[in-house]
Amino acid sequence: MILKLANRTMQLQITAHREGLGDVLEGVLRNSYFRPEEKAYLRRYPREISKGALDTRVALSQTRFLHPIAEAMREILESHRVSQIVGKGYGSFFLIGGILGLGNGITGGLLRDSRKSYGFRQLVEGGLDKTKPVFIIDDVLSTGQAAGETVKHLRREGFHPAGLLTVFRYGWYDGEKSVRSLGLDCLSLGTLDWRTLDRKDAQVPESSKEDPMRLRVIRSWREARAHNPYEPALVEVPGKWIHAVLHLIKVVERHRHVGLLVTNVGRETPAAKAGMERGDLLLRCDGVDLDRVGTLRRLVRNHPRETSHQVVIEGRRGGEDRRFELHRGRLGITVSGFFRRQIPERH
Amino acid sequence: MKRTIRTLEEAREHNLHEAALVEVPGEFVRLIYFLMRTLRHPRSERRKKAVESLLRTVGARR
Repeated sequence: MILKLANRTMQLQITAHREGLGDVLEGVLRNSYFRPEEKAYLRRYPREISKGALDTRVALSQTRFLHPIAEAMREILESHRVSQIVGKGYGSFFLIGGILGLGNGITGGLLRDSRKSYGFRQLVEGGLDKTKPVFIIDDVLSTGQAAGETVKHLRREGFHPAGLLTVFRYGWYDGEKSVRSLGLDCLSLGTLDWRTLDRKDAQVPESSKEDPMRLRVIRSWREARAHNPYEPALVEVPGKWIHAVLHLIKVVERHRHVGLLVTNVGRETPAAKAGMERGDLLLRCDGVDLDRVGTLRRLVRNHPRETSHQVVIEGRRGGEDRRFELHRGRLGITVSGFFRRQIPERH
Repeated sequence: MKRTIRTLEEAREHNLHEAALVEVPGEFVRLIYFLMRTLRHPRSERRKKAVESLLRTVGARR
């Protein structure tokens, strides 16, 4: 597969680790695409491909690709005597469904982004047995960071992740090493590598010959609202606030789904006495993810049916985890879920 | 022509008194533009102070 990025022409090479899968994996790659935001990223850092660059969902939603891949994965799972699989993210959901659809006595589970605020509040949905090992199924392994997060969540929930099985692995990252350092087996159906082609060797498809994307400068609220959320843009920022804006983007990137920002703390209030400060991010209350202001309000209220008078709020200040123990009732803070209202959903 | 800033290193070298164009990931364009617009043309002094306070407290912490 030939790509033209950063004024270089590159060829992605696939090495299939199982016989007869080469054509299928190439088909998946041809039907996957690099999203515009990653194209811009790659032009700047041509040696890197960010973790989400390859979007396999379109390919994996087609049975001609899903079926042979699920079949190969089932064989690997059987050879490792694994009877439970779990996945996180839409790429893996297709794979989990495909493997379970083969009807081979394997049990599947799905890992949620966050707990619901009602019902059983489970993070892992499905009928997984905590006493048996479970394999994580995913479409792409890049740096291993996402896999590490999944392992952390599963272990916290009492499960025993034993391995990771992916469709592709990026050959230019140490993802495998990182997964093995967590004590897991690391398997994939194919490895992706790339090489730069000489100009005369390169046969660039017409579709890849578009001009390099120029970043748009946002000059009005209308332009900001209409902007494609997949495409970076330039925003004018006063010199004094540039540093703060770049930091803010980092913070918001990390806590885009969960977390409430403390916007004010009243003097001599229970929250102030517990050590809360303006700018803290509140992530969980009694183990429930704080995704909206109403959730916090509901969880801390002084209700006669509550058995405990204490409430534990977990949060972050800068890079540090914080834990606040307070009495139920009025906390004396104002919080905001402001970020999420301003960030459009990505589909 | 205003300078384009992409990283914290570039921001550190930049003159504090000069505005610049900051590269923002697509999904945060609306948020950052909203904050900057509020700083430039605030509906009220209170709202401007709130944004400045937010940038100081959250923006200064990694």
